[in-house]
Amino acid sequence: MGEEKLIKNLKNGKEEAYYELVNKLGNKLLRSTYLMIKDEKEAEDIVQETFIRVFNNIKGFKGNSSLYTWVYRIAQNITIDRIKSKIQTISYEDYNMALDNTDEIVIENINKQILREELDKLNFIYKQVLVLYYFDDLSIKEISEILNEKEGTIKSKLSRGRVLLKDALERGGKLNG
Amino acid sequence: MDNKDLLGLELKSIMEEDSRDLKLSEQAINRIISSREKTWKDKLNDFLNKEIEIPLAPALVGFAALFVVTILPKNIFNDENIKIINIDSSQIIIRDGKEVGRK
Repeated sequence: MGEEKLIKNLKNGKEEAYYELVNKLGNKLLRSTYLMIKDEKEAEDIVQETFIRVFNNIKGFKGNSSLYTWVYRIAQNITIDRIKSKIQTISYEDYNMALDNTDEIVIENINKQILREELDKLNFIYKQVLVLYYFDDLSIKEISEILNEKEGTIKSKLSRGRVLLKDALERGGKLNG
Repeated sequence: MDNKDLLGLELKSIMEEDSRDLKLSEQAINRIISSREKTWKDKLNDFLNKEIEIPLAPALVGFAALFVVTILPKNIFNDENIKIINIDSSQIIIRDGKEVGRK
């Protein structure tokens, strides 16, 4: 079913359309949310709440973005609401710090175990962008639409996250950021 | 931004490995689907598919009552008032009422 038809069927309340959307995005959203918050139960709750909100508001969906971007945006809003207290704020200067060496990260050997541990320790705002970019294969433009932030900000967060991981790897597993 | 560099590939691989076994449970999917706003068609189907439980004793009493009303002849419990008058070898039978059909 194409996206346009799927949206039409969702608006008409057709059950098969609801199943299609859940089957298409449910597991992907669950995995993506889990990678950001590392709590399986909470991730499932967030995905449930996301779809419930999507279905309750589908009639008001105007198609200004793709359906999938809209679903992801709702999921990210719910995730941020739920873990608001745990998110550390990062200064604007911090984002920009990484811009100079954005694409020049050269690492010869990566200790996967250290990388995994450092990724878990990384601040949510970097991890969120890294997951959306690397795991969900979303473009910078799509991520900026989902998070309602400028593309430059997303690029900075992504670069900063990568630099922090690289630095930690070089030091053998100690994050600075 | 290159997502195919070594760091990017390793990050993707770690993320895939760490979340590989995660799947939405059947209960979660059912909760999601049942939360949607139901159309009139769904409501009608729900109504038609509803299981109705009837308690046995009242059902039997009701069925017996229905049987009595519809199957049994109407006058089965009526005591007809019949008078028989014997005149010689003949009898005159007098009833309170009798249905008379046209030939």
